[in-house]
Amino acid sequence: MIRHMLQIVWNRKASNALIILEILVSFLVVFAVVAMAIFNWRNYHRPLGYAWEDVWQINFRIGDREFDAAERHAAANRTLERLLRELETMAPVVRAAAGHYPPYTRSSSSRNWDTSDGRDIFTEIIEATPEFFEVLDIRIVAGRGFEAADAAHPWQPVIVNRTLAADLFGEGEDPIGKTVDLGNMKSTETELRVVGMIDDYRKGGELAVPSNMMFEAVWLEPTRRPLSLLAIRLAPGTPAAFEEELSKRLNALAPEWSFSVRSLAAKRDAYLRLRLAPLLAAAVVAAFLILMVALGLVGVLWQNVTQRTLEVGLRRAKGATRPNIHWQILGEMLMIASLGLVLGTLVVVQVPLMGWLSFLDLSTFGLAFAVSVVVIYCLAAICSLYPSWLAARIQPAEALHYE
Amino acid sequence: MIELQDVEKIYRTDRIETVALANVNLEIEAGEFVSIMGPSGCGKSTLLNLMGLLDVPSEGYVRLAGESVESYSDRRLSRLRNQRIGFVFQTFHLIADLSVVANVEIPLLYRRMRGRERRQRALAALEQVGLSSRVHHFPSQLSGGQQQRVAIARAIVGEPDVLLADEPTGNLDSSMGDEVMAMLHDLNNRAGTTIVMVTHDERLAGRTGRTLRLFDGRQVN
Repeated sequence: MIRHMLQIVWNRKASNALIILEILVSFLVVFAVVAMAIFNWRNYHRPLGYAWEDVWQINFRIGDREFDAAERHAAANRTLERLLRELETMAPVVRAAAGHYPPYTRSSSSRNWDTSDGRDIFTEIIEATPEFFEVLDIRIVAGRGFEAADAAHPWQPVIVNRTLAADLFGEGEDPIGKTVDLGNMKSTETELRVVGMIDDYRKGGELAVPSNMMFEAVWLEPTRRPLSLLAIRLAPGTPAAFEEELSKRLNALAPEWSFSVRSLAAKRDAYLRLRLAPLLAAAVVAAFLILMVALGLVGVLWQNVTQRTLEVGLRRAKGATRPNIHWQILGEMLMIASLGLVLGTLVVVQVPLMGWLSFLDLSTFGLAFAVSVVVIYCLAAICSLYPSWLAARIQPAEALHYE
Repeated sequence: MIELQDVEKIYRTDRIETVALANVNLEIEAGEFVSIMGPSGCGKSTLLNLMGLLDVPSEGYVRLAGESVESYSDRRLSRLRNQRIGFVFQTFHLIADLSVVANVEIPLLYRRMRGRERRQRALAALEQVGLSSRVHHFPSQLSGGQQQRVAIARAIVGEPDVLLADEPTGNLDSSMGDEVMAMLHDLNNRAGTTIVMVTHDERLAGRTGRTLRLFDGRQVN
């Protein structure tokens, strides 16, 4: 029977071209949406590497009374030091730190090293005071955090995440104490020595792609360019009203600076809304498209059944039962769907072959493919249920005289 | 082989009631070749549908090989049609997108049978009707006579006890019609298949063992 259905479907491929095309388009749309959903779902469930709860970020604008840059930097760092010290004296503040690029921030600083053995390694760089790790509860999984004694070293201590450690020194190698191969920048850069390793620091948030990360320790020395923000960890349950008290205190400590305080929880909400909105919009558009395709399929199949009334009558006369007719229509539809899926597969398989959408790893691709195939088969089966039911109810005596 | 007792067939709509057959009583013995004649609309095809278990009478009984079928389920009726009855139609009813041999295989699809055996039996049926050289052709590549021979091969491939032919020569010229009639006679004589044929042609009816005449849904002889 399967061979018989295959023969019919194959011999009617020209008249089934419209359905095959609809299946192909639906498959591509479903694949795109499912792949993006799986990609984001997996990212969402990866460890962030930090805890955003009870952390507030304080952005500031430095007043520029000083005209000389060196004097301005020195004054700013002095103020920052004072602010950090004073903040930690406030009751709900557990820890305070300064740094660049807190979580849920798009901006970043990055480097590309061409290593001596010809590899190209990209990493994002975060400069922060040693307390940054405590504020964000970033766990050191090997080695140690930054220490005050590090300031005296002729080399720059750095902390890397696992992926960067694997890229720099090889999978499974212990990075602690090793010097980063600066390659083309060797002559101009200070030696970077790894003192610690963290699991991750996904600055871009839950939906961001994991990336190489390197932390460089910063001490608020008068000559260095000031850091751009303060971050504080608060005791759990600190009320939002504390923001007012905090702002007053900050303004009192540095009246020439302007401050804005925002919790990471609020930043995260805004970030997720921003990232999920286009995904939801794409999903709604895709769902609408698939609904249209489903209605189209039901219509085309309905017409197809009507055109095949005589054939149905003949099959019933020759011994086909109602379930036989039902399964014949359903089976043919699934085979037509298979033809569309074969074409769709030829299209989507180009994605990994051509290296497009490189962020889609093979397992995400495979899972998205499998889910899309199941969705399309379900869609085809659901769409053919009513037409096949109609076909099965055709009375053979009437059907044989249908014109 | 086929017995109809006090059979009536009435088609009802909201406003109209049409009596297609009334008080039909007949018995067809195994191995008979019976023709049914009558003007258009007299109920010939309805009678054939009832004999072929494609329709059920409004009143009365139909028996096939002694089995009273009025209480049979769709599945059981389908099995009876598949195993005991062959149909030949005026317009052949071949499936255009299937090859000749695939068309002939259709009744065997609804039996538990391996593909190889199905194919062998279809080829044997085609050889019986003289179309061994056309097995992979499509219906549109055949003449009307050849198409009807394919339809006969399809009707006999399951070795039915009864063959019901609804104006099998109606769409053929006289020589092709004679060819088809010769084939039906051969089947009746050699295999002992019971044949019931609807026809408008007195000449062809005269060549059958018995002629049943209908007028306005009633037997007139």
